[in-house]
Order: sequence, then structure tokens, then C-alpha cells
Amino acid sequence: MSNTTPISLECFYLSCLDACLMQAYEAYHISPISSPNFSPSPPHSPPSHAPSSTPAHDYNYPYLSPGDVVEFCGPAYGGKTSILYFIILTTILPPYWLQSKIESGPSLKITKRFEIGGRGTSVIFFDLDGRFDVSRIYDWIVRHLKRRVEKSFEESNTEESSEEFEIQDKEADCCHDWVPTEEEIREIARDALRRLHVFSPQTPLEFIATLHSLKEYLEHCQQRTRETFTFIMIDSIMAFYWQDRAEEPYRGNSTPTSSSVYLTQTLHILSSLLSANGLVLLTTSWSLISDISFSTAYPPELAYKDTLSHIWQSFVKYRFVVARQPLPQYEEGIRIAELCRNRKKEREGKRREGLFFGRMVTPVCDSDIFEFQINDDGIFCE
Amino acid sequence: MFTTQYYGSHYANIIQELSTIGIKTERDLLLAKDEFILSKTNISPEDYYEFKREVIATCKVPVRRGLSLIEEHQRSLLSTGCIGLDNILEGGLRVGEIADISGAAGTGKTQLAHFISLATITSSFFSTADPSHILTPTLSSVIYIDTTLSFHPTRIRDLYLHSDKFADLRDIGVDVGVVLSRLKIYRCFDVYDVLETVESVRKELESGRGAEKQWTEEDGAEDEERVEDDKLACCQEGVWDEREENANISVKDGKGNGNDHGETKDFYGRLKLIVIDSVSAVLSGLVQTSHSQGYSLMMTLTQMLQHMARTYNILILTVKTLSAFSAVDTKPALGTTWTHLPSLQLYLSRCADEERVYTNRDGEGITVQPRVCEVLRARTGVMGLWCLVYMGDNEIFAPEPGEYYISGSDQESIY
Repeated sequence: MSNTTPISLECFYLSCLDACLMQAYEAYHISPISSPNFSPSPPHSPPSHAPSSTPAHDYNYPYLSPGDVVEFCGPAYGGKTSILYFIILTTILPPYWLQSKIESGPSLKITKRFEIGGRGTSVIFFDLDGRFDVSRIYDWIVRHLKRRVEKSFEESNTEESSEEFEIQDKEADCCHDWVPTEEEIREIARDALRRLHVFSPQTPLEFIATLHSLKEYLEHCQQRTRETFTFIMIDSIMAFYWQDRAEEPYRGNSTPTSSSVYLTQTLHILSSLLSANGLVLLTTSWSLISDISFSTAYPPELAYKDTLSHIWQSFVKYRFVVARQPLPQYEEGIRIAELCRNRKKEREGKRREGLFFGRMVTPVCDSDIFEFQINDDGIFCE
Repeated sequence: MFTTQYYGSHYANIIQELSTIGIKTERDLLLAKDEFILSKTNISPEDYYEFKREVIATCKVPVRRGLSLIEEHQRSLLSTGCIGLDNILEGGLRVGEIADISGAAGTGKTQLAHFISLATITSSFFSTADPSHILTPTLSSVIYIDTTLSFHPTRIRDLYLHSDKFADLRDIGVDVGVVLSRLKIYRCFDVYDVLETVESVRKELESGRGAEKQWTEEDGAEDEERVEDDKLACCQEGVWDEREENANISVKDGKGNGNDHGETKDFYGRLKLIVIDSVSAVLSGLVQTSHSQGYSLMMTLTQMLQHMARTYNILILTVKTLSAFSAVDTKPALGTTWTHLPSLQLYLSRCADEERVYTNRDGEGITVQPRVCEVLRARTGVMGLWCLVYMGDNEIFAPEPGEYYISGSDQESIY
């Protein structure tokens, strides 16, 4: 199955994260890239002179390749789920939108196109936290399209173009034939949401059963609607962690291990799904450690410590820690006047509430801390 | 447990065979390796895979497309009853989520929770843009889970009887007994009590789901009658007894066996808010003594709450006391896991400004103290916003920023 699937390479369309992929590639790749169009290579190149610290993955592309597992972890409200939402947006939006208009009789059919630059592929989303907020994605999509419309007006005046994300670079450079109206933007957004498949299991059993059924489901979708799936997302992988821990020790299996049978089986199903369908897995996970006692060169919010079992640790190819930049908390017993002065300052300065930062922790390389912003319009990297 | 009744008698042999090697539940089956089962039993691969498919089909959850989710999506907000607080929340608390109020002891968390409860019960009065046009009463219901065993029914009664917020309602004769009949209080001694209570509430909601529709279709006139009925019913049930001088709301134990009055259905049909005051009281000890089990219970509880909030469009409001040294919230009372669970966290703190005297509508002077209420974390909306909430005896209000009371010398320094 994997032989027939062409290797498609993806990126995050978030420059700060994509830069990390490049850094990992530069630090760990074995075979050099010959041409910009990467020739499909076997998924597992023989390990030759990889540095000893290299984990069980190869970093031969500065992009995401099928079978990759990416984890976003960090403290609560750190932007993990938002990053997934943004990737959903870039994935389910189509590359372009066609407007067919019949003018001067049925003989002449004019097709106009509006470049959007999305992938036009589908996403499987596991909402294990029960907090999936479809309206946020919808709002972001609508605002994203509106910005593109505005940009296309600007571009028609100046030839310069600097897009937030582009998939088909060459195509997107050409100017838009037409821009959609407000109503058409909503139609595009709603159409894109068809490509988002959400599962919301509430127990570990429902989750594992749904995972078992996913292979058939993907085949069914591919046959019926010819959808191509790019990502499986799990938000968050920790949701059933403690429940599962409490149910141990597990009875009735030939290989009772100290680590979680549940997790092992989950990963087993997931990895076969990824390789058979050429998918990339994106997950979020919590960091339960907010202990400042172990000092690192990083801010405490970006400290990382393994919490899930080793099997999961080695399963993940890229791991990012993201967090909201700490706000100065108001002290107990502050004066109201002081608060009002602060508010005035905040209004004049940068909106302090939307600033986030993060870093790559797996693979280990000297990557810097990156900054990004999350607000009602989407996610933006500097 | 697998049962032949459920899966059909033609699977009886397989179920029997599986049980001999210790595979007794769906979970066991789906977590075991196929090769292991096939090598240890005499089940043929065809039969085994057919049975496994059947089990998967039973346990899996259906898919929802993003498009249908957005079509069903309804954004409803619940006013906190305080203008200033609603403003920083972009309209109010979001129904279908878990919100959390935290703060040091004595900052007024419980009082705010009481106020929000009353505001929720009477929310339909305030929902119109024109306050002079007060609708015929349709009261919502609130469940208050008290885990600190410190709930005083008189406190919430006095808040209704004296706060300016409810003055209009009192004027048109909305009786305190009728309002409080919409409040059910459960006393829970530990987390198991809370879980049991929440589960019993969920069951009530599940069975009474149809009732909601019926209610919203009714017009005002019938509602008015209904309120009278409610009042009667309550007196009979003893939930609220006006005849006693020291009015008393009956408090249920954690078992929460809802009496099967016709009123029950109506109560759950209009349930809008569940308050848990406080979560730290039942969970923090547990989390500290038995790590894994404590966290498991905390997750189970929040997942139940989250699901209930979503399914039945209810707001869950939790109250949490922070330890004295946690003003900067680096060490929340329930560890960092809890910070991941609510969708909104409000934080109350004191400010140095002196108390002031507020003259209410009846001309009484009430001493109120300012508190800073800050949006500490929010999944949607803006984090870091704050407002002032003035709290005093039986009075809470959060004015617009222009109405903050700032003493003369301080005032100059702002502008």
C-alpha cells in the first residue's frame, strides 16, 4: 500500500515551525537533497553515520513526510490547540475557488478563479478533551479569506506579493481573476469544513474502537468522495492518560508490561494507519511540570520533561513546547489608579495578551525560541 | 462484560472461548493482539474477525463533519449580572463550557457564585434590550453543589432581597420563594459524592430532554400560571417554606435522588447552571495523597462535566480557593493539570483602595469593597482584561470603568 502512495511533503505554513524543521534537517540529515523536487526515497533509509544522539527517526527532509508524528506540548492555554486549528485551516481550504458564470448565452462559459493557496485535503480530528470549537476555525477561515481579498486589491496596485502561506507558489503568483463576495466567502468556508472529520470519543474504549474502525472509514471516504487525507490530529493525547493509569494493572494479555497496554495498542494502530495512508499525526499533550526548580536556559514555561511513557517518547519525531508569554500578574492590594494607568499603557503598547513563544525539543538541536501571536484573526509568526 | 443477550446467541461460543483466556470485556478484546487470541483459542479467524468488527461497530463513535458542526453551533452567553464583568467577557460566560473562579480566601468567590446563580435564575427578565419591558417570568434552574458544607441559604436569600440588581423583580412581585425554588442545593462530602451527584443530574437531564422543547413553546400567560403552580408545589415539597420565619432551603445529601414529582422534569428542562463550590475542597487532598488515582478522578469528573455542559447547553461554574502564596498562580491548588481543564479562569484579588459607601435604591448606605476580577486564562476571548467588582453585605456590582471610584489624589495621577 505504501509503495503506491506517492510521498507528499508538507509544511506547517507557520514560518517559525517550518524553520525548526529546516534546523532538524540541517543537524541530522544523512543523504543530501539533490534537487528541489525530492525523489521519493524509501521511508526508512539505512542508518549510516547518524550522530549517536539521533533518535529512531531520520530527518532527511526539511518537511513533514508521511508517517511523521508531531507533538505540541506545554502549559494550559499555551496555543497548542490553536496551532492544530490553524493547520486545519491551511489543509481544508482549497488551492483555488472557481466561479463559473454563464454570460451571453449558454455557449460561452466563463470560469474565473480566486487563488486561496490551501491544500484542499482532509483532516481527521479526535476531540478527546471535548472542547472542540468549530466556530473558531470557521471565523479564522472567513477572516483569512477576507484578508486575501484585501491583499489581492493591494496586489493589483503593487506587484509585490507576500502571502501568509502559499502551497502552489507558481500558481499563486498569478493575479486573481475575480474576488469572492462576502456571501461567497462564507460558502468557501462552509465547503472547506466538509473536509474536516471530527470524532469525539468520551472513554478510552470508544477511542480505541474508533481507531480500529478508522482504516475502513478512510477507505470508504476515499472511494466515495475521493478525499485525500493529510493529517490525523489528536487533541489531546493526555485526555485519557490518568483514567488509563488507574485501570492498570491490566489483566488478560500475554504481554503484561509495566507501561500502558492501552498506549501501546493505540500507537500500534496509529502507526499502521499512518504508514498505510501516508498520513502525518499531529497531537497535543500537556506538560504537567511547572517546576521552576530545575533551571534551564529557557523560560520555565518552555521547560520540558517527559511525562508519557517511553514508547510514546520515541514515537514522536518532532516535539515543540509552546506557551503563552507570562503576563505580569496584578499584585494583591494594588490601587485602582495603578490598574487604570496600566490599562492605558497597554492600550498604547502592543496587545500583551496575544503573545506566545515556543521551541523545538525533539530532535535536540540548537534551535532558538520563536515567537508567535494568536488572536481573533489567526496565528501569525514574526 | 460481553453478553450473549447483546451480541446475539450465535456469538455465544466465541464469548465463552474468549472468557477462558481472560478476555471478558470489549476493552480486553480491543487491546489484545489478534495473534495471541487466535493462537490460544480454537476460534476460527473468520469468526474472530467478524466478532471483532461487531464489537468495534458497537463501541466506536460516529463522525461529525465540520460543516454540520457549524450548522448546529449556537453561541449562547449567560450574563453574570454584572455589567463590568460581562464587558470583559465579551458579553458573558459561554454556555457549554466550564468556567472557574479562583482567588485567595475571603475575596468573595462564593458571593460572586451566589450572585451569578440568582442572575441565571432570573436571566430571562434581563434578556431584553429595554429594561422597562420586563417579561413575564420564565425562571431558569440552577444546581449548587456545596462541598465545603458552608452554604447558608439565608445568604443567597438576603442577596436577592436586598441587592439593587433584583429590585425591579421584587417590585413586580417576583417572590423570593419562587426564585429560590429554582435552586437545588446538594451537599457533598467528598469527590465520590460529587461524582454521584453529577451522574444523577446527568440521568435526569437525559430522561427529561424532551421537556425543554415543550417549555420554550409556551407563551407567557401559561408561564405565569406555572409560576404559581411551582410555588405551590414547592411548599408541598418543602423545598422552600415561607411560613417559617427562618426560611430554609432544603438541602439534599450527595445522593441526589431527585423526587419524581412532575416538577423535576421542568426543573431539569430549564437547568442552565451548575455551580461546584469548591472543587479544591474535594480534590486537592486526593491529588496530594494518591497521585494517579486523584488525577484519574479529577479527569473523570471534568470529562463528565464537560460532556454534560456541551450536550445540554449548561454552564459549569467551579470555585477554587488558592493557597495563600499563590497570588501569581504558579502553584494552583490542584496542580497544573487543573489549569488545562476549565475554558475560562477568573481571578479575584483585593485592592488597596478603601471601602466606600454605596447608597442603594432604598436609600440605605452599604459599605462595599473593591475587588479586581481578572480574566486569567480564556480559550476564546481576551486574556488579561480586568474589571472592578464592588462587594458588600448583600450587594455586588461591577460598574463600567468610567464609574470606578478613585480617591482625589490618585485620580490626578491617571490623567
